[in-house]
Amino acid sequence: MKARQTINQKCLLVATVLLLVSVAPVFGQSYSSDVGHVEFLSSVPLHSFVGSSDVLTGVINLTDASVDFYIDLESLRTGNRKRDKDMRKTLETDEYPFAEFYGSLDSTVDSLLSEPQPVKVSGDFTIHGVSQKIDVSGTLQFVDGGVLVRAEFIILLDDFEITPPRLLVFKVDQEQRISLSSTLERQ
Amino acid sequence: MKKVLLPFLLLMLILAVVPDAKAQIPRERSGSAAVVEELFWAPSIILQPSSTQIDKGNLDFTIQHAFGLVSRGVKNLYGLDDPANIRFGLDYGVRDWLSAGIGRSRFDKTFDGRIKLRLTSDPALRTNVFVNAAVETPEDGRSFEHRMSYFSGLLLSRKISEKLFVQVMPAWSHFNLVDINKLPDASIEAGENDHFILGVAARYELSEQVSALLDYMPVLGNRSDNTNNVVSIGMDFEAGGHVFQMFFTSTQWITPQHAISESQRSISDGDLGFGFNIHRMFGSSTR
Repeated sequence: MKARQTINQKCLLVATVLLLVSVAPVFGQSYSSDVGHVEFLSSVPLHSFVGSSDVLTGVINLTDASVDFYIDLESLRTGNRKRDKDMRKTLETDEYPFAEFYGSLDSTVDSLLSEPQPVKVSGDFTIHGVSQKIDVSGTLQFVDGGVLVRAEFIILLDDFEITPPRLLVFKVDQEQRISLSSTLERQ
Repeated sequence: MKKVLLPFLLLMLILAVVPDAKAQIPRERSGSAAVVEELFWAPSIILQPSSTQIDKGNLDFTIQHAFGLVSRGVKNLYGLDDPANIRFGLDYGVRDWLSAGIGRSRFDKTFDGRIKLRLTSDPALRTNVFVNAAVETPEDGRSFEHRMSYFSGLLLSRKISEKLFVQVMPAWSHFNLVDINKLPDASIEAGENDHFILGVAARYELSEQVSALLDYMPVLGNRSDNTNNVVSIGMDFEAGGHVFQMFFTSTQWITPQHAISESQRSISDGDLGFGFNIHRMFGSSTR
């Protein structure tokens, strides 16, 4: 009887250890934020303008190296309400409200370093209902209780079946420079 | 106990050995406040102030020109060779609902300061208030007080359809001193210190970048002799950071109190002159 009890206790101990092992990385290596900053830089001849938002949501999970960011495109502001309206129309935000990136971290990072570390991620960027594989370079810096992420990349509107709007005789440039910065907190 | 424990153990083993399945975070709308859609593309329609507010932190630089009469013919390039009234202005968005600005017009070397604020943004009936004070600075011996004039208007605007936007503006203008001798045309015999108008303006959207504009400022009640209601018609061209307005108008005055009380051109006589406004918006989002 006593031997059976000992076996059961051992099994319980093993199960508890396994449970802790299975969930520990998730809680220890996952970072998230919903107040990141993102900018879409657009150009037309003679001037350029920026659509920016401070509700960039993202998660980086160092356990499985997944990287997931998205932005509600209707939160973008360009400083000109007519332009905001035109932008939403061009991007058809009623139908496709999000721009999102989902991929994986291709670089290894050292969580003990406090300096910015260059990283590369690859994955799918989706906007206007169209997904394309992209590679993004950026930096990742471990700060107190979190990680600061900075990245910048370029997309072409044609690749996402977006017709560049015209401003009188000028057409908005195909090239859109997207930059983001976000401090993600450890979960 | 063992029967319960074994499946539990197996489940834990699976969780520990099998890598975490990658899962995207659920997409949720940000709940960003809806953008207040402006009914006019620029802070002015042609001469009247519009209900459009300048976003907080943005700066609107304005150049306004009003030329001579088109009827002056080709020898005077349809009025373009004649002296033009020119106003340069800067308006700053203090808040999304409040802007303040200054300007300077060539006629009577007039400086003006102005404030516009939004009272309600209800699309069914948007309400704004516009007030300004102007001082004329020619060297003619007048005291500072006698150089001052004022304008205040309540801007009531609404979207009639997807393409048509209208504004009605009950307004009042006041000159501390009506000095008939300073007017270039001596035919003005008597001036009124106060004028009341019911301004009417409309924008009809022809395309995403082009609109037709109407701006009419009829005086109600007493008015200065030999003056006429101001009518302006024009086109709006929206080009990102710029709005270009090209128009024909029956006044050369640009500040509304002067346009109301000192315009002698008569639309019924075909007294129209060409003019244009350029609005350039600077801000943190425009480079």
